[in-house]
Amino acid sequence: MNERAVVQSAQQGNPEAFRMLFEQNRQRIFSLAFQYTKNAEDAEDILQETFIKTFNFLDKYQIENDTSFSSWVYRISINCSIDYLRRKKNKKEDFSDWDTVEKTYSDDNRLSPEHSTRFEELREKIAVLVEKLSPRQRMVFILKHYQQLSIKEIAELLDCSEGSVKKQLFRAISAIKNPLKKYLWEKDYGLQKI
Amino acid sequence: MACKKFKEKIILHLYGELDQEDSEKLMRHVKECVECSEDLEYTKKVFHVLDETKTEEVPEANWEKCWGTIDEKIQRKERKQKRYLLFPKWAYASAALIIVFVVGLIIGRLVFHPVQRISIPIEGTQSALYPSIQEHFESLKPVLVEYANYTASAEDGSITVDKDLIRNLIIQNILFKRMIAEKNPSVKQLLEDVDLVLREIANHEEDDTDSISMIKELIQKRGILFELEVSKTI
Repeated sequence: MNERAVVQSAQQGNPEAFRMLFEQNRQRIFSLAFQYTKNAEDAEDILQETFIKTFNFLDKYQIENDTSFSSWVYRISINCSIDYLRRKKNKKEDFSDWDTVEKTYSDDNRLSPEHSTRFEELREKIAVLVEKLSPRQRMVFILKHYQQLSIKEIAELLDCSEGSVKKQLFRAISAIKNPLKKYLWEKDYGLQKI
Repeated sequence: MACKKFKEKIILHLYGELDQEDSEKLMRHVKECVECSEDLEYTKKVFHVLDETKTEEVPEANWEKCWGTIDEKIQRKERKQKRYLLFPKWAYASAALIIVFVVGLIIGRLVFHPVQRISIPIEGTQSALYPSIQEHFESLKPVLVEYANYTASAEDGSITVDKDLIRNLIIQNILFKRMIAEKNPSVKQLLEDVDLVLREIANHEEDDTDSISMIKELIQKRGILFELEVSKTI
């Protein structure tokens, strides 16, 4: 059964067909959501929100459309992820400086002294920097750097211009690389003073 | 200014998003500009660090739990839709509108147009009319009592009547009867009985004892005198 036939069946109210669509797309969406949030529970929430929204708008999807169903759902999941993070960010305290970040990590025991390696430490630092990006910048960075999509594809998924994606990407990379400069030099990660 | 633009291009170049011409331009600039050259090298290293640190494995999701939640929410929505088909929103809205309209109407009537007590106008009229009727009844009494007490075996078997007085009483009686009309049936009935008696009185001859006896009987049978007494308490 091809995707088109499954979608048609789901649109006619077949619950099994909708479950098949869920099974076909769940891994890709969950992976993106996990890379985006760095949290499995949040990623599961995003996955659920995505498919509930997909169900609600299923009759709006046109099979004759150029966009495949997978791309359509992926687009919904991107919007759900950005919205989810925005909601979460509004609730969460904002990290103001490195000290707060360090304190939070040590309080959380996320970076216990026994298991702390430079690599782990660096990964945590990058995670914090990525976390500090705006929801949209973070999505552009994840789609480009981890999902390795082209600028054109990202622009289509986010429904914006390629120029806008390039700007967001530049800001995201700058927001990560500039604070890392001092840190990488201090920790001697093979960088020469620049 | 030029360097800022090239710094943007460095990132695109490292992602392979720069066309050949722009890449060549960038490389020419980097060879000449120390700052951009250092930035290119540093950005390469940051990309390397990012690649190195991205190896975090995506955990396995609890698919059954996820599907369970999705399925439950879909079922709930479908139940809601079925309920909507039975009682669509417009039905609730219409019912609410009707209730609001009716309540508004009631409040409006009570506040702006208080319901007037439905009263028989006779009560209002009666207050003005009643003393006159009573007066009329009082002037009837001596005449009617004379007929009611009539005895045929008496020395003088006739009753002398002031025909003008009787005519006036008839006219007065007719007027009151019209004014009362249907508004007070018991008074109207009494006035009709009185009218009948007065007409008989007006028409009989002074020595017509049979007629006088018949009038007496009429007054007694219809209890006119009793009714005249009772009418005082109205």
